[in-house]
Amino acid sequence: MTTGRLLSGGKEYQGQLRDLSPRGAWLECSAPHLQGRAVLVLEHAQGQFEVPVEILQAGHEGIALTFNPLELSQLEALACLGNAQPASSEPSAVQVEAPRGLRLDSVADDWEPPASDPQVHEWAPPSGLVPPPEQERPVTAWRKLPTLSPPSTLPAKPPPPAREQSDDPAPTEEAVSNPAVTEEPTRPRPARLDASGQPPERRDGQRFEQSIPISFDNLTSLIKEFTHNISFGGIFTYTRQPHQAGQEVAVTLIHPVHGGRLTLLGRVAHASQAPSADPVSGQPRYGVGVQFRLPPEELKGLLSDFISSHQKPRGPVDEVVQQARQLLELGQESPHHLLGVDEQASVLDIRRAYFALVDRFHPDRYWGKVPAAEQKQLDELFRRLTAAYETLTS
Amino acid sequence: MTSKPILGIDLGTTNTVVATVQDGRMKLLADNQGQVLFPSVLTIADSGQIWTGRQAAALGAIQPARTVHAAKRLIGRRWEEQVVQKARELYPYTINQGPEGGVVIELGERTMSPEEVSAAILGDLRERCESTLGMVPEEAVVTVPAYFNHAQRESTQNAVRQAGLKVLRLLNEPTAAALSLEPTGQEERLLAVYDFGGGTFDISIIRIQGSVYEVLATNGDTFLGGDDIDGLICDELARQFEAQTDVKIRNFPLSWYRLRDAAQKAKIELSHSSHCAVYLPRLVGDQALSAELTVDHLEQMARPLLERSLKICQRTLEQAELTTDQLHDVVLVGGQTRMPLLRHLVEEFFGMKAAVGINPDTAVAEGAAREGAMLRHGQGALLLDVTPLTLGINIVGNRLYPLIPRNTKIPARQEHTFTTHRDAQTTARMAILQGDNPVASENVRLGEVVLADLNAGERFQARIKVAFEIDSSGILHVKAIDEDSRQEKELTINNSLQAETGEPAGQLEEGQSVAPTGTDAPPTFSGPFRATELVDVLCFLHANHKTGRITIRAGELAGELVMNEGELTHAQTGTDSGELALQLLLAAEQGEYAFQEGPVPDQEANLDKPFASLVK
Repeated sequence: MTTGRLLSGGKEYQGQLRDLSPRGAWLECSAPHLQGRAVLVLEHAQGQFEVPVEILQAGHEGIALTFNPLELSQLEALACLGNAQPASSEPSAVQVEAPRGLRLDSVADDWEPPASDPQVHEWAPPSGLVPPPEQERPVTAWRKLPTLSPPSTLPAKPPPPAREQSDDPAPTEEAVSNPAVTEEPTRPRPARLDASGQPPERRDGQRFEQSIPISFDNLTSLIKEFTHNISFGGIFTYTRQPHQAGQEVAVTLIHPVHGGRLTLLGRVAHASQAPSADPVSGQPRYGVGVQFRLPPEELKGLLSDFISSHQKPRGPVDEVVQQARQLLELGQESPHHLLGVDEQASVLDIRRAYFALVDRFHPDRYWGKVPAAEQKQLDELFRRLTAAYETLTS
Repeated sequence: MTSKPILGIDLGTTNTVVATVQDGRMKLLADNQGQVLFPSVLTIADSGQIWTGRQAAALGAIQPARTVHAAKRLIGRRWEEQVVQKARELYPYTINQGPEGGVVIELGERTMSPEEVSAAILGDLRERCESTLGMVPEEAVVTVPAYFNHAQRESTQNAVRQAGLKVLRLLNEPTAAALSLEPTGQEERLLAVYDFGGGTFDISIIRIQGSVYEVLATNGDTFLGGDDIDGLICDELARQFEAQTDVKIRNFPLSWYRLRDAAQKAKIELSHSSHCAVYLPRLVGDQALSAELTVDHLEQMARPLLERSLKICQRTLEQAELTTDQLHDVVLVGGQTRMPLLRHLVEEFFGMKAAVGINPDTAVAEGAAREGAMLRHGQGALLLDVTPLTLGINIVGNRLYPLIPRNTKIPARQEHTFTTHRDAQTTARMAILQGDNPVASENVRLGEVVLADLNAGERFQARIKVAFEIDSSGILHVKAIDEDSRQEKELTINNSLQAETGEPAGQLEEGQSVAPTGTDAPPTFSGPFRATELVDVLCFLHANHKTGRITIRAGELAGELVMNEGELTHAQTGTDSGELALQLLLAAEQGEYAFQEGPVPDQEANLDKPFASLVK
C-alpha cells in the first residue's frame, strides 16, 4: 500500500492511500475540516511525487481527492497505482520495480510500449503505464472470487463488436489489460480485500434508480455517462463501447447538486457484449455493471450523499439539461428503463419514480432559465416520462 | 436587486383577489381599507369617470344600469349563446350584440366589452400594487374556471394583457386552490377541490406527493355559482313583492339592483341564522318590500343547484377512476361554500369533513402566486396540469377525432395519420376543434389547417400526418404533413386573437375532410350529414371493415342499413327495401345518422355489393 501525505494550510496529514486512480484517490486520515486545494505527496519506490489535488470530501475516515487532469499527475498516480499493489498476499511486499520510463519530465517521450503488445496506441502513456502482464495486478485476483462473474466467461471473451468511432482506442486497451486477467487465474487477492472479508456482493443491497453523471475511465478513454442505478456495491450504466468483464475501471461520480467528484476504483462485473440499439440515436450501447472495490460498509459513507442527492436542491441548470438529454437518449422502448424501475415495480414505486423525475426535470422548473431549444427538450422529456408512467400504470 | 413580483390573480365573478410571494412570504393585496376582496364591479359616473371595486359597488346602488358586475360570465362568450341570453335577464345592465358575434355592455354613452371591463378592474389593481408592494408588477399567473373554453381563456388573457401585465400562465381555479396547500411530505395524498364560486363551479381531483401536485381530473360548469342562488332569492323576493303590490320590479333597474343586493345579504345572513327579515323601504315608488326568508326555504331553492354540482363531482371521480373513500381530503373553495347546506351535502357526498384552515376566498389567488414564485425561482410546489378540454380535428361524417384527450398532462404531443376518403380528393381541410362532443360541429373551432394540391389519387391512399403539440406555456402548435408531396402546414394557436375564437365549428365543405387511418374508430359515431356526406361515412366504414347498423333519419324518411365486414348487405326504409331503399336514403339532402357497431343478425342480403356503384 502506498502512503500519502497531504499538505494543506501549512500542515501535513499522513495516511494510507486507497483507490488510487488516474482521477483521484482516497487518503485515510481524519481531517474533516479540510477543503479546497492541497498537495499530495506520494511516496514511491523511485522517490516522492508532489501532486496538486482538490479535496472533494473530507471526513473522519478519510479525504477524497481529485487530481487536476491537466497535470501529468495522472500518470504519476497511475504509476504509483501499478506499483503500490502488493505482488503477493503479504501486504508488506510493496517493493516492486517501477514501471519503465517513468519520469516526471519525460513520460511521454521516453516511454515505449511493451514489446509484447504492438497494438498499443502511441498516444496512450496512461495505458502503457498499466503494469505489463508479468507484473502483478490486483484485478487478476478478483477473478477467483466466487461471487463475481464466472471465470469461464473471461477466457472465452468474444471479440469486441465493431465500433462506430474509428478513433476509439478502447479495443486495443482491452487487448493490453485483459491478458493479465486471463493468464493468471490463481493469483492471491490483495491483502486489503482479505481484510474486508467478502468483496461486495454482486448488486449488493438496495439499488437506487438514479441518474448521476459519471465519468467512466477504463484507462484509455474517458466516457461521460449517467448511472442507471446505483447501490452501495456498484453502479449500472450504459456506455457507447463494450467493456470486458474483469476490466478495471475508475468511475468518477459527479454530485448532481454541489458538483463534487468522487472517484472509485472498480471492476466490470457484468458487461453485455451484444449491443442494444439506442432507440433515439440508433447507436449501439452496452450495459455495464461495475462493482466498486471498497467493501459496502465503506462505500455507504462515501455514496450516501450521492444516493440521496435527488432529494437535495437541484443542481446547476446545465447539468439538468445534460441529464435530460441523456434520459432522452434512452428512448421510448422501455418505459421501465426510462423511469428507472424494475419490471416488477408496483404502481406506487412507479409513481414515486415518476414524481421524483418530474420534480427534477419538469420544464416549469427551468422556465425562463434555459434557451428555447433546451426548454423543448425538457418538454419532450416530460412527455416521454409521462407516457412511460401512463403506460405502466394504466 | 429584488426581482419584480409575479402576481397571482383570481379574477372572480364577484370578487377579484391578488396575491404575490415576496421575500418568501405570501402577501395579499389589500385596498386602502384593508380589504383583500376587491369587488369585480365597474361603473361609469355621469362625468365619464370609471370606477372599479368597492367604490363602483357603492355607486352601483345609484346607477345600476351603468354598473357592470359579473363580467366574467360574459367574457369570451358569443351573443347567441344561451348563457348570454340568461344573463340579460339576470342583470340590470344592458347586454348587446357586439362586433363579430361577441357581446358588449351598454353603459350610458359608452359601450365596453366584458374584456375591457375586466382589464379596467385589473388595471386599477395593478396600480394599487405600487403602494402595497413598492413596485408595479409586470407579470402574472391568472386563474380561470377549469371549464373555461379556449375563447374564454383567451379573452381573460387579453384583459390581463390590456391591464399591462404579461400572462405567464393560466391556471385552473381548483388547481390553483390546491397549490395553496402546503406540501405534506412524501406520503401520497389525494384530494378533491370543490370550488363553488360566485359564477362558476369547478371540481378537481389532485394527488400530492412531495412537492409534486398532479391533477387527475377536472370538470365544471361555467354557469353555476353563488350568483344563481342570489338570483333564486331575488326571484322569490320579487314574486312576493309583485304579489303584494302588483308592480313588476324587473322594470325598475334601480329597484332590481337593491333587491339583488338585499338577496345577497340575506343569503349570507342565512349561513349563520335560521331567519332573515328583508325590509326595503321605497323599493318602487312608495311601495316597500317586507319579507321573511328562512333557511329551510333557501335550502329548498338552492338544493337542485347544489345537487347539480355533486353530479359533476361524481363524473369527475369516475374520470379519475377513484371513489370517495380513496380521497384523503376535500377542500372547499369559494365564498359560497360557507353555506351550511352546501357543506353538509358536500361532506355527505365525500363521506368526510371538509378540510379546515383554508380561506375559501383567497386560496385561489394564493395558489396562483405560488405558481408564479415557482416559475421565478424554480422551487416549490410543482404542478402537473392537464388540458381541460379535448382537442382534435374533424373527420369524415362530421365527427371529432380527439388527438389530445381532456385531462392530458401538459406539455403534451400527439399525432395521427389521416387519409382522404374520396377518389381524386385534392384538398384536406382539418378544423382544429376543442370540446368533447363527438359531433364535430358542436365543438368550438380554434382554427383550420388546409392542405391543398394533394396528389389526386385513390381514396384512402394519401397519408396526412397531423401532430398536435401543447408546449409548457399552454400554446397549441398544429402541424399537418402530406407524406406524398412533403407539403407542410403549421398553425400556432397561442393566446392572440388570430384564432377564430369561440365560433361554433359548423360543418365543412363536402369532400374535403379527412378520415383516420387504422381501425381505431370508436364503435359508435353519429351526427348530422349533408348531401353526399353519408356516402363518405359509408366508404369510411367500408374501408375499416366495420360491422353494424347505420340508422338514418332525413326529414320524413327513416331507414336502416346493415353493414357486415365493410359490405352493405341490407337496406330498409319504412316502405322500401333493398336497392331502392338505399338509393332513397343516399338521395337525402340532409339528416342525421348513427352507426352502432356490433354483430348483425344473419339475414338474407338484399343488396348486391353496392360499393362499386357508390364509388364514382
